[in-house]
Amino acid sequence: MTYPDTSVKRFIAQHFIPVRLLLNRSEDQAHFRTYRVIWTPTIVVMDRRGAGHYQSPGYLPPALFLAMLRIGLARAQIAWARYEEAAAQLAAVADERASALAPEALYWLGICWYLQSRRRAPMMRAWNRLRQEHPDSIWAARVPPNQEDEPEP
Amino acid sequence: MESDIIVWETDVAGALRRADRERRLILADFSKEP
Repeated sequence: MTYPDTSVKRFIAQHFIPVRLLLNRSEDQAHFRTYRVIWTPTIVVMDRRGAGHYQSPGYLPPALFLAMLRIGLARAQIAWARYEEAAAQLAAVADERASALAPEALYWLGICWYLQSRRRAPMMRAWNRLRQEHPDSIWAARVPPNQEDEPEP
Repeated sequence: MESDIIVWETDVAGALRRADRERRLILADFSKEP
């Protein structure tokens, strides 16, 4: 079970208000339509205005669930320009090199660093690591080919 | 002592108000009754 896991429970308590919406409860069905949820279970990270920042379909074991929560949290923090906090969450996932979510974390880490600095070099540091450590991942494929590294100052 | 159970809100409007008050995000688990 994922939710009784201590580290998952602690992370949720620290960062989120947990809400459960049920497909077979009539008053919840409008929310399934609003967030375009077509399969259960699906996790949606949303902000206090109800804007969705991240969606994750299906079950995940605790370690991956926690990594997914970190990425979802980081996506919201990037949207709010809280880049240092977002980078810390993404780096924690990326450093678990064997994690199936490490490539996604490195992809967003590159974008986070770019938006923070408006420079390509920090982004390319994360993306080069992505291409080196996870060359066959879909996230490495999303990095445009033939990216020239900006010289470090 | 730490609870073994996550207390899930069931009312989205209430959860949004709480998220606003506590400056936290909402983790929505779209699920179905077993």
